[in-house]
Parts: sequence; structure tokens; C-alpha cells
Amino acid sequence: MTFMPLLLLVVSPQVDGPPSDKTTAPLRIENAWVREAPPTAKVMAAYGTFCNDNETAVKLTTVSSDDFDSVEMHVSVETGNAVSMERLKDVAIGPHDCVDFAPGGRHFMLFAPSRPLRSGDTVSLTLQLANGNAMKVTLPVRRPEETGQQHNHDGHH
Amino acid sequence: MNRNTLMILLVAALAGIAGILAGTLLPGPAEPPVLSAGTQLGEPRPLPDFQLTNGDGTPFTRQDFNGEWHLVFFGFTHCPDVCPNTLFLLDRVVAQLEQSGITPPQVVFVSVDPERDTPEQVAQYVEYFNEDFLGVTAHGSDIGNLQRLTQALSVAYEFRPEGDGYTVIHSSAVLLVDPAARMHAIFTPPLKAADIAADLALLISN
Repeated sequence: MTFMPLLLLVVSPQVDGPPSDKTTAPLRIENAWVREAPPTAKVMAAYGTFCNDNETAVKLTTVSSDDFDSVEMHVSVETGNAVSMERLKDVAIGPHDCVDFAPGGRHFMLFAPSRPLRSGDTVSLTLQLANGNAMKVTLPVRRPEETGQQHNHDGHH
Repeated sequence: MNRNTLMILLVAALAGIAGILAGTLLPGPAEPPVLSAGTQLGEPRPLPDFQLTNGDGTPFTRQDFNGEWHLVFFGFTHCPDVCPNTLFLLDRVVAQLEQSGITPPQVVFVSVDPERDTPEQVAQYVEYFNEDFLGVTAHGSDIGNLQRLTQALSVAYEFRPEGDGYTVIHSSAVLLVDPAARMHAIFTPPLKAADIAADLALLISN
């Protein structure tokens, strides 16, 4: 039976001890990015997928950054043909679950960049979790992947 | 059944098939094109008279819509998510039409937040997305004009206090205005560049 060792490997982390908030690993973050904005823009947005590989839920409560005056979590909401933004006090991520921050939906609203940010720059955000953990994330600034930039923008910046 | 009867039946059948083909391939001039993303207005709605201000301080009026197709989007520059999404998308729409050899509509971004956005700031803001885009807003006594334009187009917006400031709830629709300065079609989310470009190719060349 060759699969037995594999099976043991899979279950073994759980016998190390009961999961507790103290041992909660930081969130796993995928494809995090800040959308480049017009140079005069006073607000920007950050996106990404935030995954919780732990056995207990985590809650993202506050976000701060040295690169911006302040950071808030928001969600764009479509009602009829109007769109509004609602502030999120916190964002809970269930055990073994992921939450997307994506254009047109949840986003980190970044107020007043401390310096002009262009594609290729990086910014950092500090995410505070309700369990007391915090983690610093570095995000690249870039344009959205699908743009007509090769057509319209080369040479202007 | 003799030969003549057979011949008549055959001709009739062929005529029927030809009629069906003509009906599908050559829609009558009154038939509106079938759109994949947009909704065409049954009756185009004329824009009211209004005066807004361009980035260089010159007036932007109803007359500016004459003679050319326009795509109009209402937003504000303190908008981190939906407005840049839509402006990047409109840039892609324009690029796709150009690649198909179709003259794209002139894109106009109207800021409904003249309290924070000066006409100059709005023009600078949209230039980033595409240097051919126009950015306009109300300036001074134009405020009533902005309301008249948005009301006539059923473009709702409202201000809501948030933190120390406020946010703007605004229409997410993109409006197509025809060369006779009439609202012709509306594109509502979810907006997809390829679908909008395909619809515009039908509408503009129609």
C-alpha cells in the first residue's frame, strides 16, 4: 500500500496540537496589486485574493500604509443602474476560504498617495487581523492587464 | 402529380427558401440591430440645452454632440474603483473599434462632483486613460445645467456623507449619443469591451 505514507503526511499537521489564534499563520495573498491611477488622482484602489489556510476564521479589521494617508475597505454595490460604495468595517475569511478583492467589487480604497505612483512602483499595506496578528504586504502598482495601451498610451508618459 | 405541378411546387419551394434567406440576411431598414450588450432606445431622446465647461475653460454644450457619435459616462475623480474601471474599458472599446477600421465615438467623462473637480482637473484625469477623451464638468453657474442634463438622461447621482467628506452615488451606465445629439442607446453593467465594441460597430455603421 503506497498511499498510506501520503495519507499520514496529509493528516499529520493536525496532530501537532489544537489550532489556536496564537499560531494562526498570516493570510496567503495572491495576485495583489494596486491599479495605476492618473497622476492627479487623490484616491487609488488595491485588489487581490486573500486566503485563510487555517482551521479558524480570521477577520481583517484595519489596514494602514506609509504610502497613503489612510486605507479603508470598501465594496462597490450596483443597485439598478447606480453604483455606490459602502465601507466595510471588517472582512471575515472562513477557514480554508478565500475572499476576492476585485475591480467592481471589494477593494482597498487608498487615500492620498504620499508620492506619485507609477507602474513598476511598489507600496506596502499593513493588514491588522482581529486575532491580534498583523502582516505587511508589498503590492506592485500596475495598469489593468487588458488595456488598449499599446494603441493609445505609448510615449505619453 | 404531373411534371408541371411538380415544377410549380419546386419553384414555390425555392421562392420560399429565398424569402426566408432574404429575411434573415437582409433585415429591413426599420429593424433595429440585435445588440449583445446595449439597449437601444425605442425613440432617441434629444439632449436638452445645457452648458458645461471643458478643461481649457471653453463651454461644452449640446452643439458639441452634433455630427459625431459620443459615449458619455458620468462619474467623479475621487472614485477609486468603478470610474477608472470604466474609463480603462472605454479605452479598450475605442482601440477595438479602431482596429476594425471603425471611427470610434468621442468619449466624454462628465464629473457630477464639481465641488471637488474643476473642469481642468477632470480633463487631466481623463487624459491619462486616453488623450482623446474629453473631461467636462460644471463650473460656477453651470451647476443647474449639470442637473438639467442628468435629469433629462435619467442619470441619477447623489452625495452621501462619509467620514470627514462624502462619496458620490452615481450612474454606472455608459450612454451612446447619436450625431443628432440624441441619446440613442445605453450600456449597463456588467460592461464588456468586446460586446460594447461589437454593438457600436452595428449601431454606428447602421
